[in-house]
Amino acid sequence: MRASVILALYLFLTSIGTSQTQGTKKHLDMNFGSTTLAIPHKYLLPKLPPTIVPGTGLDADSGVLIKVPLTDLGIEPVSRGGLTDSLIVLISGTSNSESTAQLAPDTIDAWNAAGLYQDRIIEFDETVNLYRVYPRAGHPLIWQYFKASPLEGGSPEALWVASCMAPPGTDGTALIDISCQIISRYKSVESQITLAGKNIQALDAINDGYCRLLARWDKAL
Amino acid sequence: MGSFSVSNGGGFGGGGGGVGASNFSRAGAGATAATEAELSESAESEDLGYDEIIVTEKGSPITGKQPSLARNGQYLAFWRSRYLGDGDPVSRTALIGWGDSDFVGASLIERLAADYTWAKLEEYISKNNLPVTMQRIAAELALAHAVTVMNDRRGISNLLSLTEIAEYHHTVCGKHSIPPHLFGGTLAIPYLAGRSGGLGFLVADPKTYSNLWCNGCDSTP
Repeated sequence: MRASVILALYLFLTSIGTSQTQGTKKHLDMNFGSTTLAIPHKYLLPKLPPTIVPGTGLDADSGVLIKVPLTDLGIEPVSRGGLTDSLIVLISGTSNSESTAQLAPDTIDAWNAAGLYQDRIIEFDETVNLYRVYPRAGHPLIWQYFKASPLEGGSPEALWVASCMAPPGTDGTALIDISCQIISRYKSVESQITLAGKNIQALDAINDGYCRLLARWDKAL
Repeated sequence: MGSFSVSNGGGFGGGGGGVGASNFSRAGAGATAATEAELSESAESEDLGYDEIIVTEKGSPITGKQPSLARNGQYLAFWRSRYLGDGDPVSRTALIGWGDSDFVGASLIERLAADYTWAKLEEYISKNNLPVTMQRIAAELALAHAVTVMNDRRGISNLLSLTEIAEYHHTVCGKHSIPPHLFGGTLAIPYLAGRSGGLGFLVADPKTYSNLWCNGCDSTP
């Protein structure tokens, strides 16, 4: 009982403390490698409470989650609501000096027809002029987008565009239902951006706008 | 597939009978479309394929039938497969949350917390007339988890962090206009109620609880 009262009091006081913090400080300063960003509080997303995440056994945590409306990047969304008018971004630091992002092992497998992708399916998506590479067990809902077919050769690092998924019960063709992940680099900041498949068609504009937004938050500029 | 052309391999048939869970009792909120019925029926109806799982020191990769279980909306079978493989720390919480508490021997507290979260989520969907069912959310979260593990490029390969788990919850919940703080983001504190001495529960404001995790975070869907 005493513990409950203390916990209730703690929640109450934390709530008050939070309100005061929000009122006086509008940015969260965070270091990502050698870059410090002042991220406005309004962009930050909460982590999850312990009732839906296990207490142990997870990977070491790093990074911060933000939500960025497309209009803040100077882009008019194709539609409103859900994921179509905003980006969910996981920001972290990187020591990788390469200009291209380090790919996930599964993405490399997709290119090399290995692992889950050993029996892969390759399709050309005319809507976005990209090649979809599916693991057979994930077709037609899980795929990697590449600028060229793996059958033509080349480097996956240079040709990978996004990892995508469509919801169960669909056939994977309606871009509005699809969510994709891309990687964006700004100095030593790496951003894993989740966006609606519909926005794949505006990828360059989104990436440019996003990097300009980070530049505005960059404390060195 | 409309605008797609297949250049390597073709389609395949999914599904199949096998091991089924016996204690899944939660019904979805107003399933109407055929796909919802399919999701409900298929949630637990395929054999698990857990003997194919290879747990490595790099975490637990998505292997064997897991992509097709996730693709087909068989979320309970998917999570059981992840749990029995003893490699995915998220699987226990997911099984309890989606009504398979007996399978993992959940405690009374865990069951109550899951039931409370389920009821709040279902109530929110119903009150706001959201065009989504609990089954669909469960299926999309399972698929999102599979894809996130497959594309994990941070820290230990194929082992997710709190932030990575939060990222796909925000993506799926946000897509359906469900606030993240509803998803397990409440805490009931027991207290003795008045002279009767009965037990009451003080339920913290979900946003207050969410603030414990991230001061000043955006908690809008």
